[in-house]
Amino acid sequence: MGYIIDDLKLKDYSLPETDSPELDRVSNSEVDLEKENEEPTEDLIASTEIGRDYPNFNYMEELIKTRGFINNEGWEKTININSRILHRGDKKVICECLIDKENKRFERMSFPSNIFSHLDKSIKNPYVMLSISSKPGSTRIDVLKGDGLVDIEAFKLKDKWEKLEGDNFNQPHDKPIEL
Amino acid sequence: MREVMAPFVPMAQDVKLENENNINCKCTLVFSTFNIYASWDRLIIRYDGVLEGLSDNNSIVQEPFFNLFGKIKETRGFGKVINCLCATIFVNHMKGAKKEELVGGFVEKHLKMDHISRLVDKPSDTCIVLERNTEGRQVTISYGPYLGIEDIQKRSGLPKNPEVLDHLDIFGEMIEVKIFETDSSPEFRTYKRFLDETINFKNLIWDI
Repeated sequence: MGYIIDDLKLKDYSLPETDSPELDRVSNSEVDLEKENEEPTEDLIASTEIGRDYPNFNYMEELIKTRGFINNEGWEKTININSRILHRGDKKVICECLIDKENKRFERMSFPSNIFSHLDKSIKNPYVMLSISSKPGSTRIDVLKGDGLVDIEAFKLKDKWEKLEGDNFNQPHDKPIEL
Repeated sequence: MREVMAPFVPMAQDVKLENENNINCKCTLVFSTFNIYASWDRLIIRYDGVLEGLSDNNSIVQEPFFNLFGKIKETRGFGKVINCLCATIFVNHMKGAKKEELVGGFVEKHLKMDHISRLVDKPSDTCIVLERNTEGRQVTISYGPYLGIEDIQKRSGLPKNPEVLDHLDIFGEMIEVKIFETDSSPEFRTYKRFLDETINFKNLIWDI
């Protein structure tokens, strides 16, 4: 399942509420705030080819209708990140991401929760592959199930290292070392 | 092979299987900007686009290509890795360039016109090939005028990017760099080294 942010100029339509306030804030940056309280005029309705029935307008449905266009998006850069879900909230999901596979460096990142809604919630801390594509003005995040894809050993190694963290190594010896 | 490749299928836009149940069986994973080809004796990633960024962490070369490579090596019956090859084609479009003037201009800049005209008067195409063989390693650099999409077709077929076809009639210069090494354990850092070397060659040639 993917979530697409595009540089469409959105006017103040009656968009359905989503669970992703952060991304809404990003897309709403394109909204013409001066005209926020205006009713859509006849010209505005006629000028767009998608979504005229505003009370029942479903943005995602309309977007899927244009799938042929989406397939030729021309993404400039794609990165695929091995990740593990740490926490699932109503609005955000926090993932532990393997940002440097060679040096085993991890970073925590948060994403809107709705892009993870297709995953089985009964599995605790599932592994996922985050495929992030980008080009000027747009980005796309695909969340793929990690079975057979994600390097689970790298995460297990990290867990083992974290267990070693503690004060014991820093305690001074209270008796001579026996050789 | 199918069990190994199956988890990567959801990442791809399409999967093609040719000559199934045959020694020549080839599986192709089609992505938006690249393809991965797997057969019994090789694994290939073919990409067209901007090269900068491919050596970054989690790039498409590291994930999924080298991830898939690692999983293939773990399969029962896998023998050993023998060598690896990095082949890159650069095309520099020159606005306003004319086909007839390109070849003559290239010969004048890089070769001795007197010698060439004694052999072939007004050649319609030309190319310089440099090769260096050392133990376990071969580097081949070819560069010359780019006279149209046929120059790319001759080498590796049409590019995936449909925008490139728009440049059919725009001419310029072309460089092909091939770096071949006998290496039993190529990794992502091996590719990074190849890419740095390749880009270095390109910069040196086009700074001449």
